[in-house]
Amino acid sequence: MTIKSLVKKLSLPFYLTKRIGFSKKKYWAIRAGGIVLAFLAAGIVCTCLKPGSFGEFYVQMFMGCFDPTDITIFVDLLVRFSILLLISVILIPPFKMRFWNIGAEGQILVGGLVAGGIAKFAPASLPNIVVLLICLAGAMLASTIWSLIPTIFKAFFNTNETLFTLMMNYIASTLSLMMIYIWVPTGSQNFGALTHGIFPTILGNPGTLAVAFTAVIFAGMYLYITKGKHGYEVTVLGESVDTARYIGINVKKVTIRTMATSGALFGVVGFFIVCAVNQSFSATIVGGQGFTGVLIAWLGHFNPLEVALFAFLSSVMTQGTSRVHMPSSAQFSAICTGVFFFIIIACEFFSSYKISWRHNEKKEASV
Amino acid sequence: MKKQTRIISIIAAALSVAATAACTAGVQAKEYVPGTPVKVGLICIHNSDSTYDKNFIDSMGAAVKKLGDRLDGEPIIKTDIPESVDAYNAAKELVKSGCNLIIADSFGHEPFLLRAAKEWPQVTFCHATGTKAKTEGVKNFHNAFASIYEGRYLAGYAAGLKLQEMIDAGSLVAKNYDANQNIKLGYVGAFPYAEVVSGYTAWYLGVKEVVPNVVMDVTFTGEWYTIEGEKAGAATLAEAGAAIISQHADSMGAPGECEKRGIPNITYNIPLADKCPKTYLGYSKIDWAPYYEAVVNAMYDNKAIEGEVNNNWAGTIGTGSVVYDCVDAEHKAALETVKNELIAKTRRVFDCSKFTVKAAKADKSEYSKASYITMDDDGHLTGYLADVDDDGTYVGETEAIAQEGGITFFNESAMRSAPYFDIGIDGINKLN
Repeated sequence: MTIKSLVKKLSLPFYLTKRIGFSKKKYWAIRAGGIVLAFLAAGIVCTCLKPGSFGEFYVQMFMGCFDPTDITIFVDLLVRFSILLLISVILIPPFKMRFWNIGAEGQILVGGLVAGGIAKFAPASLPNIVVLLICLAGAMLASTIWSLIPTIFKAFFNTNETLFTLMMNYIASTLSLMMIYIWVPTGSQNFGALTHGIFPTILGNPGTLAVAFTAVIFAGMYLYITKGKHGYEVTVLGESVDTARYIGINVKKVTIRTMATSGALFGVVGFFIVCAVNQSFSATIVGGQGFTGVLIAWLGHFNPLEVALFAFLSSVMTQGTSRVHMPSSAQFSAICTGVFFFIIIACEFFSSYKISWRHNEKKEASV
Repeated sequence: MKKQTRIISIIAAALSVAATAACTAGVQAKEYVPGTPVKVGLICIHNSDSTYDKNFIDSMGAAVKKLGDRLDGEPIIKTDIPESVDAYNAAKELVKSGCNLIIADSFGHEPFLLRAAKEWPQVTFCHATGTKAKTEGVKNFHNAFASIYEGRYLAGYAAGLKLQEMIDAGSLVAKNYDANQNIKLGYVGAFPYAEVVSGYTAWYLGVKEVVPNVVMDVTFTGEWYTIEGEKAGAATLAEAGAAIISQHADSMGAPGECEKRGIPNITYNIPLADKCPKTYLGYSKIDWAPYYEAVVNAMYDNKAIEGEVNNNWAGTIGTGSVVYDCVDAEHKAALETVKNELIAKTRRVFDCSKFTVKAAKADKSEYSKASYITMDDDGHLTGYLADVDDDGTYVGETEAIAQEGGITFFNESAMRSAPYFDIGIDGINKLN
């Protein structure tokens, strides 16, 4: 048996080809369909768990995000959305220059760790705002260092940044556990609630001010990515390193600068998560949002507006389903969010590739 | 591009407007009227796949049957709630659903539950295993625990009886003895916290009561629930020669490994006679139903919670809050005698004459407890300053050694419900 016939025998009854000339309208129609389907799927899962709850599910989900009688519910959503949006948008510049940074989780965590440590041990005589500023500076510095370590290895020794940044997440998490152990030597090693160096609670949520700052940072990032010289250099670098060199871009400098910027901003996110949203610290406080951010940046094709859309939809899905009373497990929300992303990725796949069946091909050939 | 800029400015503007909009509406809790049915909410860190949470959920089921009309329908149970702002949000959801009593089961839920308690003073918040209620002084915030060390002591006693049988039958091998002819025991702990230290020390003292020449190795997994980690911990102890193993962690890891290796095992929270028929000796657990009942009855009858001191409630083996079992029918009577002695207080788990603390007193390391310890010439404790007040100083401030009925003992869980026995006694060796 020749290799060729073996391949033919083993091959699947279909094959994939890249779609060319797929209209943008059609693409977005498919995506919109996918989003609707994802929300329908969540309702179906809920109905399976508790028959007859299909309609009620959507009412509760809506009320869990946009309850018109209770503004704090919507503020909760905005806070959740803001953090996810920030993470996803900050990931765009590194991704655009094809620096696959999957270490957002750890980069945020070390920022939060430093912010939490400063807030916990700052003398009570210092005014809250001063403590906050020191926390912010410390967090930005820590996260910058954390993201520069793999970057420098990449720039000078060409190490694989995907593995390196991923590994740094585990180090950050263990480092956090160790620091908590040192800071809280007795009892159950629990960091406890911060009483100093915290954001004020506005509209029932200490993260409200962080939402306002997020709006500013987002606008800044948008301009940085789409309008500035830096954004352009990053784009060229991502298209082709040789082209970048040819037009006189210092590849090492741009790589390091971009990662330092995103690192510093991740420090801000860590600061928000610890001093604003949670007012506490733990090794799991980022809760996987660093990875969800990677997914969202990717699904949004590194376009800040598209990213905002998916960060919003994902936040609605997560919060809405977590506040549905029927299956009152937070895992239900995790499942729904997972299904949501699964369907959107499937849409992405089927609008990029075309499936052709082999038996159709034979028929066509024989005609 | 222009269009995009416009969209972006709209998003940014909408976000800032929403963030700064002056609006005071929020979740309003309704005042509980005594004598009306109580609506209960329970916040769990995992779901019933974890033996720890299953114990809370099952106890709730038992309490529901007993309380009957005093409850407003089935309790709302929120599972898989992490120790983050999600715990606060879960509490908020429960307040919105009209709960008058909200209970959380995990230590790390405490700061978030406390925040909710301050926000909704009309609602009663109970936090199991926590330490803040005594020092915070928030009226509607309570801590609870149970003297599980009594259950572990009894489970250890059962293990001791089994060990004596093994000695008599000559089934121990050279590996089971150390250089001084002491028999080795093993214990898989989650974290080196007071809660765990108190538990394994009680278990060890239980065994030692029957077989005096025992030493124990302890290994920590650094997680509450890790099947692989607990398996590996049990394997390490088995390799080191442990004749009997027990654990304070939530998965099936250690019992499974013991069954595979044929090492007798005492479990926590669940009886495993069906899954580990060869090696299961017995178990101990906290029964939370008496606590749920005490709180609901207190609310319903508009009284203080029975047995509560400084917003702390510690159930005992006498109140039915600590449950244990042992498979060997012949040993049950002996255990029953010991149990009655514990209830009558003629026997104390942490009887200072039964153990020595020479190594802890000589400890020169950074986190040494030596400065809190006073002991007599034989190494028995005569005084110990425990860190009872969770005030952020992490310094021992409360004298924990008491005397009653001619016994000098460490007065565990009396000044605060959560355990504070954190001394490394002689004969127990931490492996990591």
